[in-house]
Amino acid sequence: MEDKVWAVAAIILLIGGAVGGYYGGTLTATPSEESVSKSDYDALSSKYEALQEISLPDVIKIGVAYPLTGPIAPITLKIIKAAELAAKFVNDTGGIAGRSVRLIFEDTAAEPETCLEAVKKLVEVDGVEVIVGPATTPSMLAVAEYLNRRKVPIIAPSASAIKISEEGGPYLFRTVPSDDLQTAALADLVKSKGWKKLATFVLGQDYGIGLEQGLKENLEIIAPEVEIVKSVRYDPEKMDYRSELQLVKDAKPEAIFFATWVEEGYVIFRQALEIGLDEALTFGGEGMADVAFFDDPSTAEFMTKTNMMGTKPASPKDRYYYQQFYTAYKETFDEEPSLYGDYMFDATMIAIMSVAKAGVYDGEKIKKAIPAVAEHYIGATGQKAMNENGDPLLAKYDVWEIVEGDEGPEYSFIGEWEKASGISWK
Amino acid sequence: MNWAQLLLNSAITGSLYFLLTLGLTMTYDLLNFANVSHAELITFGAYIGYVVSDTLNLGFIWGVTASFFSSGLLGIISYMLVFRPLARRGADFIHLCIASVGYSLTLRFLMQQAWGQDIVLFESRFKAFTLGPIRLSWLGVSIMAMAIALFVSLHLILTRTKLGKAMRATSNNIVLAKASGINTEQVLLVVWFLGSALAGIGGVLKGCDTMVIPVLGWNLLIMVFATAILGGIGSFYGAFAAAYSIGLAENLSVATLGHLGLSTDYKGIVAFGILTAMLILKPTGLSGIKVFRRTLLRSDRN
Repeated sequence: MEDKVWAVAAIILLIGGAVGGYYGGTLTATPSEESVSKSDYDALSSKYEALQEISLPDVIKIGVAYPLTGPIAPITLKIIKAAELAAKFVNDTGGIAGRSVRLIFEDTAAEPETCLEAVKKLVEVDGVEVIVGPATTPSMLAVAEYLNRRKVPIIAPSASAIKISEEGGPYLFRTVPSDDLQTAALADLVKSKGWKKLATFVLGQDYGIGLEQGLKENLEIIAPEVEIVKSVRYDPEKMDYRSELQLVKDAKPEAIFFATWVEEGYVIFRQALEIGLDEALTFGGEGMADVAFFDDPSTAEFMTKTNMMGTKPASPKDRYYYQQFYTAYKETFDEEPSLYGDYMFDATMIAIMSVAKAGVYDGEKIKKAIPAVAEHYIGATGQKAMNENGDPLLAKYDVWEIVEGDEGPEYSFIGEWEKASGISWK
Repeated sequence: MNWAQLLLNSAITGSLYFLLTLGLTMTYDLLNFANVSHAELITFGAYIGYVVSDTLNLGFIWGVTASFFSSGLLGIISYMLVFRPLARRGADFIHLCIASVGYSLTLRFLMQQAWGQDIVLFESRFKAFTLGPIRLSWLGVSIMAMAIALFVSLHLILTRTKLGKAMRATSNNIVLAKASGINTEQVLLVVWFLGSALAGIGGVLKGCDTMVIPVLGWNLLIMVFATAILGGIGSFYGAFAAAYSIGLAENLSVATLGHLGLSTDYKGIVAFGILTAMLILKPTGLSGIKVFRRTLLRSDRN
């Protein structure tokens, strides 16, 4: 009997202690607002600020791994100016909590091996915890494994191949939409034009192959009647494409899809004109929407003669944020921003803002902050909310064609494409 | 498949390879080392051609002429400043090769400083015309004509002149040639000049056909070496046959890969497959094959 009394008393004490402890603990952990005096609040604030000062370095380093030399350097050297502009924007307005932003440039030479070396140097030697770049898909894929292992995020402004979403991993982000969407837009363009016999002539690397395959897959779904009569994947270093172009000519396509860089484009289009491949119509992706093509009269003549059309990720040019970027770029560098300049600007801004949001200069924490920052970021290229692969969720494409303007050939924007509504012609 | 067009494209490619290879194979034979800086003589020729033709606006013919002389002169300077002092100090194959790599990089970066990294495009435009089943530009015609003219001229120099005899004698045995009273030093200077000048012409033609970049010659170097080895080091006639064989192999492989839907990146497999087979079956290259050997012997007898 005595034992039972002690047992009941012990249970009552146990329950009482647990309940008391719970309420006591809760009260200590979350004091109501009224219970915190002003002096407590000030003390907490200064403590918080002190913590912030300790966690962010005086200079916030943002790595920029992009081609500074090599065949595409004439274009990429213009693109990186947009990164400089983003850093200038932030530094001119007081930096991040008083810390200045410093860009550290490393040359990738548009080669995967050099890019990996550049990224390793940024991380291991310069201690960079977030990187903007690189320019091309092979370079992006080359650094993926290292950056995922080393837990340093990278934001690409121009590498658009589908393969990056599939194989990139959690530390790879992009401000440029995946070609997955662009190939859907291109397939819509083919369908709306009623072309039935197509040929493709693409760069024999992930970028070109991704576009070619994506276009074919989308056409199989929306326009199975379209026949691909010839597909050529060219070697960018060969610099002589007569035989490749002849294969396309022999297949007698109605329209030819081109995906080239500007450098080889000069040679390809000169030789295409020479072999008389200007009877078919031509079209292409964003890579073909570059005014640099017009620097060569033969290239310009071929593109105009074949009435080249295509798609290009749209920048909301009538919006404040694009205007702000455009005006500042022109004032600072006294030239027009190049293709992808706006995407580079947004990539750099998101990188900087993600460091600010993370509150600490640590790759893992910055990586977690990037999607949150992107979710609410509206930049020169519009809203940048990202999907689970780190790709922009929303993308709009301009539909363009090359026309003969008063001062020579020019890109004329003739429509817009959105996933939900397809092409709406202007 | 338009076979006539394919053969014509192969002839253009082969003509360029012949012009680019000749200097390399000649200097390789005389000094017994692979001159990597030959690539830069190609690029230098292209830049000089551009400056004279477009910047000074003197026209393409003067551009080609200027490339010929300036690349030739650069070849002589390279020999006198870098390779001759090394060879006199007893440098062997490896030393000379490594020196040529270093010298090559120096020249490339100097050109990069002078002309920048931007793409240079010739403004000279050559009209294209249709001839039966083929379509051809006047530049293609110029490239082939230039290669044939130079082949004939060099053949005549080698077989009909004292200089040609001296060149062949120096190539066969430099000590014996010297003992026979041949001014071998003069012969070496002529060979360096001619080889480099031809590389310059090849460079300006290739540059005009495509574009000029600091790595123009460097990107061509592997094919140039392949042609020299396939032809047999030092063989003028072998180089001629090898250049057109590689040109044909390259264009045929492009057509085959294109039909299979594969990237033309793999074209090297065919060209280098032929090269590997040749090295296994006939390490002396095409010049080791009877018909070429006979030609050479006949030349020697003259």
